[in-house]
Amino acid sequence: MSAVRRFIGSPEGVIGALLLLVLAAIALLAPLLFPGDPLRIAGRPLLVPFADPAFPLGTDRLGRNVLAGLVHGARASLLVGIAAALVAVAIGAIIGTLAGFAGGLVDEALMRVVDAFQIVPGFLLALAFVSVAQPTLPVVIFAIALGAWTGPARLARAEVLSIRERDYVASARIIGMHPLEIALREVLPNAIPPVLALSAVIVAGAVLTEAALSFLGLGDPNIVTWGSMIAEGRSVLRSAPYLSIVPGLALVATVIGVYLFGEGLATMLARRDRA
Amino acid sequence: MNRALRLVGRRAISSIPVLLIVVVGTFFLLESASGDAVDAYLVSIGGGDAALVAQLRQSYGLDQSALSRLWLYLGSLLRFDLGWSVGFNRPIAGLILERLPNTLYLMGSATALSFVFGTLLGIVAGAKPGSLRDRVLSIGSLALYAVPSFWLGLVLSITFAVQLRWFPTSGIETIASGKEGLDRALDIARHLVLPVSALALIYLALFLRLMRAGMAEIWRLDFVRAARAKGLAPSRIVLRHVARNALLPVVTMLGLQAASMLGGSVVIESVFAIPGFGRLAQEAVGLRDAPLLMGIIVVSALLVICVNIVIDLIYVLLDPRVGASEVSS
Amino acid sequence: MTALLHLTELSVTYPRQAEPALDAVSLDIAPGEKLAIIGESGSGKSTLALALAGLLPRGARLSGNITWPSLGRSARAGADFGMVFQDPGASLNPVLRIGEQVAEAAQRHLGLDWEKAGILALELLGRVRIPDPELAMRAYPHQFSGGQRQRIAIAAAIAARPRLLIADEATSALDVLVQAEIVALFRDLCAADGMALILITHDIALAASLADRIAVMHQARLVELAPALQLVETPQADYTRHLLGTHIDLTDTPRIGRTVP
Ligand SMILES: Nc1ncnc2c1ncn2[C@@H]1O[C@H](COP(=O)(O)OP(=O)(O)OP(=O)(O)O)[C@@H](O)[C@H]1O
Ligand SMILES: [Mg+2]
Repeated sequence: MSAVRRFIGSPEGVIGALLLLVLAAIALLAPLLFPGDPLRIAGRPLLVPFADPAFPLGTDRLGRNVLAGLVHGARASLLVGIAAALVAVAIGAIIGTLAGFAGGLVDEALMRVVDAFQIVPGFLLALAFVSVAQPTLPVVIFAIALGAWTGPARLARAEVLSIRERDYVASARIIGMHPLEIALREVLPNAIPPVLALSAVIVAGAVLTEAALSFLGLGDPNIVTWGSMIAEGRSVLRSAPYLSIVPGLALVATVIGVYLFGEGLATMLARRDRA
Repeated sequence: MNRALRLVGRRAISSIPVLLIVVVGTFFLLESASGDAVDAYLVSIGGGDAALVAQLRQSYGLDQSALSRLWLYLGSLLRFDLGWSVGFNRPIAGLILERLPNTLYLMGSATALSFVFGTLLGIVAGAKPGSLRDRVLSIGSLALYAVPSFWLGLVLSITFAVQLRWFPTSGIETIASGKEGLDRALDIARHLVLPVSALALIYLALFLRLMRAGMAEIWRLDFVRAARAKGLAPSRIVLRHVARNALLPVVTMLGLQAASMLGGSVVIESVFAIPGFGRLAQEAVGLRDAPLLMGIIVVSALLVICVNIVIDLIYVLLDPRVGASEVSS
Repeated sequence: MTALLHLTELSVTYPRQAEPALDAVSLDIAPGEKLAIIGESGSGKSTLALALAGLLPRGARLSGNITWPSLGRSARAGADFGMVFQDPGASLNPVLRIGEQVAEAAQRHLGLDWEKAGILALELLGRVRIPDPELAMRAYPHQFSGGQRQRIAIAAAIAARPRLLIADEATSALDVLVQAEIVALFRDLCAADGMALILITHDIALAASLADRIAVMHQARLVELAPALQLVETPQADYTRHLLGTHIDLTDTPRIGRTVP
């Protein structure tokens, strides 16, 4: 309860949470708001925004409803962002905890792998991965997670190393708990809060990476995403720039929401630490 | 100086196993692709008979086992030979070397500009935590950092290239302009203004945020209180005591961001049609040219390692506590 | 004789706190006087020091008066008073050379250029008995021991020749031998320069051996203020007696033990 109060105490966090709630509602209600395939041709091509009440944001080059695309695009962005962050944090937390707990050669080897993932540009890695597998949503999610798990891994490892030395782990050892059991029951739960704060940053990064991938035509071609809408608008950039501008604004709003929410989380954690 | 040299040596040596992991990992990742460059090539020339396929596979060494090819690849890497690009029908090393400078101009200027202006604005914000200008800069930088670079590139392009016609929309230089020397450099600079701005603005936001967050931490430390108790000029406390210390993690971040900036250049180069390294990666994907993609990844990893060694050297100059035995990581 | 420093009814309340951390404290300090402030943890000693120095955190409410009769104006930090803090490791900037950190107050307040301020810093490092001051000028804080860092911090605090040095538990983090050296240093510096000293400490024996007068703080209030010997031998306030009592229990110092019934 007091955690909630601490969160509400930071205006950034509340604004971010509200933004995300609205976006999530839009994403969830998309099939109700705009039933049918948002990629289908719905009207005259290149209708300007606010001209036809049936198409408040106009239509694109092929006559697809821009607002429908925007609303359905929220699904892809949020889904990919959250799923990629979950995968990245899960991989990172497991590997980091393992490295921190095992120590020695295992630690050394795992950390070199972390280093390797850190010196390869995550976006290039995602590019390579998507080109090898097929560009479906799960592949895109995993490709993005591949470039994002090193942060949580380092954090989890550092956290484990610091917690490891504390008393209760020593006493758990004396009771005769298996090291892995200690890792799962005592250490991991303590390492989770700071990792959570980091995950907001990862969600934001994943939303942006997904947009960039689909902008380059490497996303799932069967679903509408904001990145693909921006790319789609490029061919008529001179005559209808809003086709690229509007989905970009949606992206910016989403990422701002995630960052603000993350700031709220961080403030909450900081207050908890000080208390 | 000795300390620095030893540091470079040690960093270079410790990078070898990491690079090896990158090479082997990428090799097997690309190996798992269905269809190789020969397939892609055959599709592009409209098919061919079995004899041609076998001959092509043999000439690119694709008929051997994966392990022996990996071994051969590692051997040729030692000779700085990255293999042959099927898609471009050229040696990969030459191709990359030709494209790399454009990307380095782009990244180098974007990094320098964003670092300088980002830290300066960060100092402006962090000099007075909680003040109006701090809040404005914090919120502004948060919003800016949320902007996708490629979209910012498009918006800048619509505004300054399409509407205002101040800058060219695409390319790295005017084609067949016959310009030489300084004229040519100026021409390239004009082409780079918009892509560099798109990248730099976003990283500026990052460095600004890092710097002000770092300063907010430092303000609480004892030595700052001691400096205030000495009655020093506010500017001296802000710059020499607070900002000077807050700079250290920002410099570390500069190294950590090198990989991400290189990745970001892929999309920016695509937006502005700059024939750079990142564009090459996109082309390699389109051509299903696995060896080329492999070469690009290996070279970018090398580049990131080099950047990080340089950053470490700078860090040693900035932080007297980092001895020869302990290096920030 | 005009007092160096005059406090009347000084109260401080920290933000979001109901109770004041310093409650109507009045006292005088004469030029060259050595005043010790003792009291248990949380009694407001540091708050008093920070209030004097104008270093209270933003939002803290201050009432009452601080005047400097012998100056005839308000005091300037660094120039009229210097401060030394508890943690010698943390009170020096880790990335600046010692020479700069000792010289900067002199450069600021004495109107010296950096070169002259550097010469002064070199002399100061010698006075606080840092071995090889020439070398120390170019070194960084992490290259010194805790006691040496505290000497450097003292040199930096007195660089602009302040009339008052405020030492907030400046010896608590150090081991006993080093503590004794720092105390000796305080005594020498005060004697040589006629500088006044406010020594905040938990250690009654230390207070009694160094200070001219001792102030006892308890729950944000000043409960007793008397010449050192008098306070130790005939304490007036119950709390002071209690404090002396616990002190005997802990260390069983015979000189003090004899005077307590
Ligand atoms: N920044 C602050 N905000 C709120 N309360 C504070 C702050 N600093 C100190 N206090 C409170 O004010 C009271 C007096 O603190 P102060 O630091 O002056 O005590 P002290 O006598 O120096 O103790 P110690 O011997 O532990 O240093 C304490 O109850 C403390 O919790
Ligand atoms: Mg105190």
